[in-house]
Amino acid sequence: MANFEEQFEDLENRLSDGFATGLKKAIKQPKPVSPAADEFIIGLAQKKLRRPSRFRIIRWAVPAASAAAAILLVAILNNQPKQALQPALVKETRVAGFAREDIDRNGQVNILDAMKLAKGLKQEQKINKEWDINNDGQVDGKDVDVVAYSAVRLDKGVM
Amino acid sequence: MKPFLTLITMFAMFFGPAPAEVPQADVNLEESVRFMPLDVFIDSSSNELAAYQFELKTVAGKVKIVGVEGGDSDAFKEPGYYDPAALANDRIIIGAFNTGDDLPLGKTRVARIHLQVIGETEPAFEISLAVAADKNENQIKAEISFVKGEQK
Amino acid sequence: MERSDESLIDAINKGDSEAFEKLYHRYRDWVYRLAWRFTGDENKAQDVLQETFVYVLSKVPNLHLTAKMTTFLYPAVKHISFRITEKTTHIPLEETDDEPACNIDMKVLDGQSDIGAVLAALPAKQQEVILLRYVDDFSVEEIAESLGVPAGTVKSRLNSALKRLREEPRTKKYFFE
Repeated sequence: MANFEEQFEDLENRLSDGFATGLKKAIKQPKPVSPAADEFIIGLAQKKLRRPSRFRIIRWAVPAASAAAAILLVAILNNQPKQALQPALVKETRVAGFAREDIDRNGQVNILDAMKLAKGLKQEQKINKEWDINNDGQVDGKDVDVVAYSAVRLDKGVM
Repeated sequence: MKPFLTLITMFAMFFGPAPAEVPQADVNLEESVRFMPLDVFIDSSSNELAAYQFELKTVAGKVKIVGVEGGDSDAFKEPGYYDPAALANDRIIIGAFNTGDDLPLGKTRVARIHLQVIGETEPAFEISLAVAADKNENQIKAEISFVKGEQK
Repeated sequence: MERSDESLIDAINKGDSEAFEKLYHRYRDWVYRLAWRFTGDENKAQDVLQETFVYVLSKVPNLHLTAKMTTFLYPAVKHISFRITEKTTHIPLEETDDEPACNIDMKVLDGQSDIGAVLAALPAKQQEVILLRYVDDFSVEEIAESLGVPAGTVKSRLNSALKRLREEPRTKKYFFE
């Protein structure tokens, strides 16, 4: 055993429990996690993970425009093989053609899509509601970030 | 634009990098470990470079990516966007853009990737430029290259 | 009887969102407090918390645990925290212990605490292993796995840190002679 390893074991044996207690007390406690934060994560999980229940179907039974957006979002978020999707979902995705992040509609999602969106915001161009990639009701820099991160995902490698 | 992660950018992470690999120490205690920077250059010739995206892949040796820095020019001094899953991996895709007017010409260092090299095998890499564009989002011809930094 | 993490993850990979909810609540507070340590800001810590679990979700249905859940989560929380606070995104090249401390935000420490003051003065790498060992109760092997370094390196850093703590008048009282 190396010398420092023996020294470490010796020092740790000499260390009282009061040290760990004191150290934990030395770190202030933050305020509790907000319920909204919990709800957001759990809500995302419920969208992503398969939930074979009527509730899922009912959530899709909404006005057509929101349904199309919801279907696209679920299709994008769902990592299941295509055959795991309901036939209607697959059909909608194919008909839709382009991924939402494909801002320039060239069939690819890359950094230029993020740039196009960023420039559009900077120049205060007419906002396309489809650019609300994260569905927070606004088109802003956060959507640019979402598009950019989509572009550099490792499972979309170019090589 | 600074590629900071916000609450909303989680959707990008949500799209899922490659199948899970729990980060873990796979270092044999007998193997040497050293750190090495790798500088990435893009030569856009007479065109101003406003955006780029490239992929770097390790093809020999045992390497972990441990960090990413920006480049030399003001336009790309901040680290570009990359998938956090690339850290502790040996492959990375980096993309960046700048909507300003102060853009670099010619050969520019756009990123420095910090690598942990494990073992004695000299690492080798492949790099490919997916896209390079000017400020009008027109794709431009550009050459990408890299230089391995000093090994420590 | 409480389900194991492996059992929950297996269920999550099969699409069980309730299993995810259980896993989330099991580790939520630990992730949040860790993020708070790194960021010193409760709102940013909540952002880190959410992004960490989105990262976990992004692995589904191929999420596999080959270490403890905390070992898996630690590097993700650290990386996300550093990015959110726009701290340096690179790890210094030199394997020394002398770089500035960055593992605990000073706002998080109790200014009246002797231990806090001494901890704040430790080099970053020593600070990190001390926190993991004595606050998060990681074993040496778990620390090694989380940091991606050999166990011997962890022991060396802990040894250096404990030596300093024993030499420091404000913390030597915690050592039996």
